[in-house]
Amino acid sequence: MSQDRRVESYDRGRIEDVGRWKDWAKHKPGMWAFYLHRFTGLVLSFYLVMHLTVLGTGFWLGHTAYTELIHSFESLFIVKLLEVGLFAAFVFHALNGIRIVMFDMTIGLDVQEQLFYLSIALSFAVVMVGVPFFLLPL
Amino acid sequence: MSTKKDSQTAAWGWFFQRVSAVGLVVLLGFHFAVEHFIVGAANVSAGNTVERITNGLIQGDHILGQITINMPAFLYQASAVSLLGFSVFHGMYGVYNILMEQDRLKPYEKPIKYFFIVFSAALFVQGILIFLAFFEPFWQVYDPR
Repeated sequence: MSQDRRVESYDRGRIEDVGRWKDWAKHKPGMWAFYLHRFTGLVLSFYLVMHLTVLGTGFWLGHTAYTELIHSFESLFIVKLLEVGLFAAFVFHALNGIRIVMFDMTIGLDVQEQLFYLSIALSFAVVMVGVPFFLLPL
Repeated sequence: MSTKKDSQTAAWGWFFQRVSAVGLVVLLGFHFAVEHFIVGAANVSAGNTVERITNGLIQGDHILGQITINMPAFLYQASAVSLLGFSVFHGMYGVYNILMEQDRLKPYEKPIKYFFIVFSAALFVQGILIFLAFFEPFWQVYDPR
């Protein structure tokens, strides 16, 4: 049994139910962190399925078709923009995920809101550094 | 009605979700760095992917074009297969949990669980087939030209 009563006695209620979304105006930062983590998680999971499906399709058609498939995707600017979005989703999900793993070890619970703001700020910085890699022509 | 066995399964699920999360921070970060920052997505081809997977040779052709990494092939292969396994587990278990937290879906828990098990296995197999396609004996099968 944990010595930390904050962990033992914390009643999560029904925060997971999407019905809580209608109270969005009353939500505190922790709830927004929860929503953002869910949203980016769903985006990344959807992308994973698409990624494996598209690459797999390329392979059934052969190596040449695979290379042509990637080049035709990458010639579209919208694809590059979506890749920046994907990168942003990954970076935030990873940084906020580290924040969640810290909470599991009861580290940083008192400053959870500040850690959320930190994960947002760091995500923004990392994505800004990454943007040229995605958008600049070769 | 949840049993002790159910809660033990859930505890292991929670644990592996954390383990895969930590793995993914490293492996997916590496994947982005290689494919987007060093090679550049527009330069990815079947040819240079074969070089990476069979020889562990990562050659820059993008903004970080000067970078060449020659890592042991088995290490690159292990990172690719681990990335596949971790991402399929983490993603699908995550979506499954989001669905299971909706009270109205509780009655369909079993069919949803089995759907996700089969779907995850299919995704993993699909990924392994893509991975194997880069090795020479399989080239002929995939690309007879």
